[in-house]
Formats: sequence, C-alpha cells, structure tokens
Amino acid sequence: MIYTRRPTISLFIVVILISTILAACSIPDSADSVSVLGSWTLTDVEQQNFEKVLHQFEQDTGVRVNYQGTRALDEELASEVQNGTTPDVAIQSSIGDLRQYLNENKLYRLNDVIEKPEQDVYIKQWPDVQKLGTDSLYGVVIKANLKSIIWYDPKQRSEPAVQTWDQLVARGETIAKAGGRPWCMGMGSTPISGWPGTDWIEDILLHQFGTDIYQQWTSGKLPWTSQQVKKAWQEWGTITAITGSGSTLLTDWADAGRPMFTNPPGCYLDHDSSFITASYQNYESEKLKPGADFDFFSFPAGVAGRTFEVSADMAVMLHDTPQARKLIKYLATTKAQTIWPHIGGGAFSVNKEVNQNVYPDSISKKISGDLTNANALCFDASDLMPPTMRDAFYSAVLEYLSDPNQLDQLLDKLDKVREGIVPAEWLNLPCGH
Amino acid sequence: MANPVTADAGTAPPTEPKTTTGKTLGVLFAVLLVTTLVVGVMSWRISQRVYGTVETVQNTTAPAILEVVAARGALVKADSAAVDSFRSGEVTLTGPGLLYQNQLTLASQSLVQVAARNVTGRGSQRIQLLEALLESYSGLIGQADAHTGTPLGTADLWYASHLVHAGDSPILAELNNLVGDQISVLNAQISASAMTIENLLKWVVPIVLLFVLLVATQVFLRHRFRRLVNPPLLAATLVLIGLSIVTSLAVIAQHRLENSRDILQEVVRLQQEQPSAADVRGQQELGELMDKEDGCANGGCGPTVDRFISDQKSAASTAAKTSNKRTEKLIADFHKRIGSAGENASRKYFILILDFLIIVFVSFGLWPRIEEYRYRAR
Repeated sequence: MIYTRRPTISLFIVVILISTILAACSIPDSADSVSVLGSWTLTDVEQQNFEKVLHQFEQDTGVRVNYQGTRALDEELASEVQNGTTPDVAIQSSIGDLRQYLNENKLYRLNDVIEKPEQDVYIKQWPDVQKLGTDSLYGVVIKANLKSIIWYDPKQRSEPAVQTWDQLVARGETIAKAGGRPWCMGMGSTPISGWPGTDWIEDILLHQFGTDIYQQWTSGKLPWTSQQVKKAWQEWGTITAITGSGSTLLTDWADAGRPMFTNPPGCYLDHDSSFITASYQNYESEKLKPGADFDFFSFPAGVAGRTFEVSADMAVMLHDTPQARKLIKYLATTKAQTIWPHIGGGAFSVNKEVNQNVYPDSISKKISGDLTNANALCFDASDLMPPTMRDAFYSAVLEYLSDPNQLDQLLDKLDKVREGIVPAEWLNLPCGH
Repeated sequence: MANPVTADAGTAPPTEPKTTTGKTLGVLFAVLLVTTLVVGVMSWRISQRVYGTVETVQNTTAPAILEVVAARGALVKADSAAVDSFRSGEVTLTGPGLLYQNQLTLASQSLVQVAARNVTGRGSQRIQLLEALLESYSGLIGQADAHTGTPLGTADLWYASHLVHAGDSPILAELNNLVGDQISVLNAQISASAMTIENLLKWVVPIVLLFVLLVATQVFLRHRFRRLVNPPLLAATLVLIGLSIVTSLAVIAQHRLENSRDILQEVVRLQQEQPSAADVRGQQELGELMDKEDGCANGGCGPTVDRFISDQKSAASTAAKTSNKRTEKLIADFHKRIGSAGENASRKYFILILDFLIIVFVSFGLWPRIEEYRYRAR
C-alpha cells in the first residue's frame, strides 16, 4: 500500500502546485494595480518626469500604476466622485477642491499610512497643508512650487535684486520707454485661463499688506472691496497698462516667457512659478540652461519681509486599497521625493531629508534654499479658495484686463460670490514660519 | 460470417450462422445519429454566435461608435458656426447663431444616444464628463458673446476653441477615450465569434467525420447487401453538403463583419487624424479674427498663437473636403457591409431543418436493415 500511495500523493502535490501557479497567473491585472488621476498630460514634461517616479515605484513594489492625465482635472474628478468611480489616488493642486471632497467624506486619512510623524519630515507649514486645515493627515505633497519670483535672461541684462514695488514698476517703465515690452504675460490656460493674473494680485497683496491681511483674504474674511484688495488690483493695473491687454489675454501661459530668449527679446521679465523652468528647458528651438540662460529674483519684499507664495501638487487617497496605501507611502518616502528633483524640471521636495545636492543646477538649489529659509511661506490664495470663488477670481482677472475701468463692479461681484459661500468651505491655513 | 446474398434474398438458411452484421448496423446507426447531432449543434452554435455578433454590432456597438463620430462632427461644426457668426458680425444681432445652437444640441443628443447604447463600462461616466465639458465650452462661447468686439471676446473664442481643437483638448481626449473603449468592445465581440483554429476544428471535424461515416456505411452496405447505393444515405450525404454550405455562410458573414470593423476603425481614424471642411473653415476664420488683434502682430501673442495664425493661412481646405467625402463614403460602405453580413442570418434555421433531414434519411437508410436483423434474431 505504501508503494502505491507514494505516486498518488506525489501526483496530488503536483496537481495542487500546478493549480496554484495557474490560479496565480490568472489573477486579473486590476488586482495588483493602482489608478492615479492627475493634471499632467502627454504634452507636459511633468508627466514624463512623474512617470519616472511611478516607474520606480512599480519596480520596487511590483504594483502596476495606471496613470491618467487630463487638462480638465477638476471636471473629471468631480464627475468621478459623483459617479462613485474615483481613481484610487488623485493629484490635485487645488486645496480648496480637496477640502470640499474632505467635507463630503471622499478622502481617506493617511495617519496610519505614513510612518514618520509629519513634523519630523516636512518643513514649515507643509504639515498643515497636508492636513487640509484639520488634525489628520490627508495628503502627501509630491511637488512643491515656489512663487513670488521674477525670471529674467541674465545674458540680456543683469538684474540686481529689486527691493521695492516702486522700483519694480520703474524697471518696467524704463524698459517700455526704451521701446521694449517689459513683462512677459499670458493668461491663456484653458479651461482655467486667468490664473497667472491671480498670482500677481496675490503677490502684491501679500507683500504690500503682510501675511495677516493675506490670510484674512484667503479665508474669506476680508472683502474684495476692501481698500487693500482693491489696491492690489490697481497696482497690477499699472503693470498691465504697459504690457497690452489684448496680447496678454490671447497669449498662452506657457508661451509667455518664450520671447524673453529671442534676439532682440520680445519681453524682459516673467513673473512665474518655479515650475516654468520645465517649460524653459523644453522650448524646441532653444535649449536653455538654468543660471546661464535664465535666473530669477524675489518679488519685492514690502511689509511681508522675505515671504514667498507657494503651491503644491498633492496626492490624496480616494480608495483605501493596499496598492493605494503602498503608493501613498512610497510617494512620501525620501527616496521617492528625491527622484523628481534629481531629474530637474522645476520639481521641489518639502521633505527635510531630501539632500540639497540632488538638485541638478544652481537655480534649483537657490529655489530649494528659498523654500527652506524663507521667513514665511503662504499657500497660493486661489488654490485655497473654494472652487466657486476661485473660478470667479480667474474670470475677474480676464474681465479686468479687458477693461480696468470696471474694477469696482468686478470687486462687488466677487464679494457677492464670497458672501454666497458657506463658512465650512473656506480654509484658514496660516502662512508657515 | 453471415451470407449477405441469402440474407438479402430473405430466405433463411436452415442453420443460422453466428453474425455481427445486425450489431454493426446498430452501432453505425447510433454513431451516425450522434455525429449528426454533434454536427447540428456545432454548426448551429457557430452560426448563432456569428449572427448574434452581427446583430449586436449592427444594432448597438456600431451605432454607438457612429454617434460619437457624429457628436465630434457636430461639435466641430458648432464651433465653426460660432466663429463664423463672430467674424461676420452676426453675433451682435443673434448671438452665436442658430447653426451653432443646433449643432451643439445635436452633439448633446448624440451623446445621449451613446449613453442609451452604453457598450463600455466607463461609458456613462465619460459621457457625464463630456456633458460637463460641453457646458464649459458653451459657457465660454456665451462669454465671447458677452464680450463681442473686445479682445476678451476673441480670447474667449480662442479658449473655447482650445477645448475642442488643441492637441491636449480635454473634450477631444475624452471623445477619443470613449471611442477607444467602444472599439475595444467591438474587437472583443468580433474576436469571440472569430473562426479560430479551435472553432474551425469544432465545426469541420464533426462534418468530415459524418461524411466519412456516411461513405463508410455506404461501402459497408454495398459489401453486405450487394446494392450499388443506398439512396436515403446518399440523400443524407447530399444534405450534409448542403448543411456545410449553409454554415459556411456564417463564416462569410464573420469575414464581412471583420471588414465592417476595419471600415469603422478607418472612419474613426480619419476623423481623429484629418480635419473636416467645417473644422478647417472654423479654424481659418478664428485665425483671421486673431490676426486682426493689435497685440498679436509680429508674434506678440506668443508662438502658439503665431503658429496657429500662420497655419490657418496655409491650411488647405481641399484636403478637408476630400476627407469629408471619404468619411461619408466609408460610413455608407460600412452600412452596406454590415447589412450584407447579416443578410443570411435567417438561413441559420436551415441548419436545424437540414440536420433533422439527415437524421430522417439515415433512419430510412438503415432502419429497414436493422429491423430485418432484429426480426431474424427472434
């Protein structure tokens, strides 16, 4: 009996093994994958860079990532949330939108996903941003952007740092008098055209009236018709008056800085975020080098001192799956946070453990230094505002450019929108020190 | 061994020798019946599957794809009409115009039709997003209307146009995703009824086997009963050939179905890769409007706008007209082809009738002999 049973047992084991292997092979692909929705599309160098981070994640964990990029991120995410078909992870820069999803209980807490306490890892106010103004962690900043900076071509003219707003305006006027177009400016960015103008108004308000006023405004407490906000618009009007509204409205945002590098230059100064460097370095005809071909100086400090506006692309979890947890956990690691900054292209980490040497050029190191050493970092106001307010702000910028004389009516309309928003939708994120 | 001559003559020998003929006849009869049933089932399944796919593609999948094509076409026409009303100044009297409204409504209705024929898992979600984007688009056209005659009006048109034309346009991207999902479903449906080696063997082997069995039975009967041919079995063989021909009509239908799929894919590809006449005209008119903006002279609105204006000046509408005609011809070809794929669908019922006839003829051919031997055994 023993001799007859052995082959039977062996056969049984072989059958079980084969079945197990076949079963493992037949597991659907979706079982070990994670879906990600973001705003970077195939035409963006950002998508290529972010995919390098995701590729490394796939190699390290064996989890496949299905990334989908769309220009209409807000619409698509809203549609998917409404249908209950959300991706596992979304990458959003609008904190206001994320706060709304949090209010609707669509986001998952990440406190048990991220291993290290956030205050040990992140600089300045970033833990507050990642908590969306609550006590729990809901997001991981995967790419921070420094705003409140002005780009120029050092080969065309050396730009000693401008100390005051008046000096900045005078600089533009001098260029204009010499027959040049001082400011590179473009508002086109369908379907969110107008946002580059909001950055101007935010910067002027922050630096001329300080962080307290800025915070009151971003949290919906300071009316648009207040003298501070109105002054910010008017000051921007002095800039746009010498730039030309028609061309500004029609120029695409990513194109605005291109003429700065032509000979003779089509414009001389570009008020833009750190992520514009990705565009600069990918203009087809010119292969621009950071430091040699473009450099920046800070927005005039004013009463706010050495303060910068910042924005961020943040990953949030919309489905609590093991794969989504793995991705979020991975994106928060120093290793993942190092990949993109190392590639360059305007990505900066707010993780204190990321070595400054990963930044490939002097400009990136300078930006990273400002992100670390600024007196205060204030989150982009339009990104903090509830979506309705933000969209009205974008439209108002376009309207103002078209006809600056209607400023009072525009501010009245913006205030009506502000008054119609319930208090729970406003975020009160202080500028981090 | 039995003596067939005496057996056939009907005069029983004085001593019945031990014989296997009766048993062989019984076995042959049973095997022929079972094989005939298998032939019937396999032929029916193949026909049923192919004509079922033809029906699904003709009534659901293809119309859904063509509705997306129509939605895209209508949207482009709406955009062109809106730009035209701005360029001609009609906008100051009637807004973006009746043609714009009609085409936008048509685009929306096409999307509703796609939703009704939802063939993909994410279809309804994509359509909902498209509806939201269409609202954004019409909102921008409304803004352009409100800002007529100002640079902002032209800018609004440009922003709106970006939503339906630019390389990374969210509306086009979503329409492409939707039609891509639909094409995947179409491919899966057609693959399921494709004549693979496995399906071919499942169909041909039983037919060949039955044919061989019928011929072998004829040979056996000829040897045993000294008759040149058994007419009912010959009839069964001829009916089998007829059944094979009827079933092969399904194979032809599958081929036509695959051709229809190729035509449909060409329609989609052509629409995605080549602009229509309305598209070219609308973009040319938008280029003219933007060229008139003071700030845009000498590249003042950036390389994207500059390239757009110069591209529109050199755009050839002849090619677009050709592409329109080709698309229309392809759609007509598709309808013709898919119609011909399904024209023999009702003939699949002949398979059941012919299979039944084979059973009848086999029974007529063998049953008398079996009866004879059964009687003799008693």
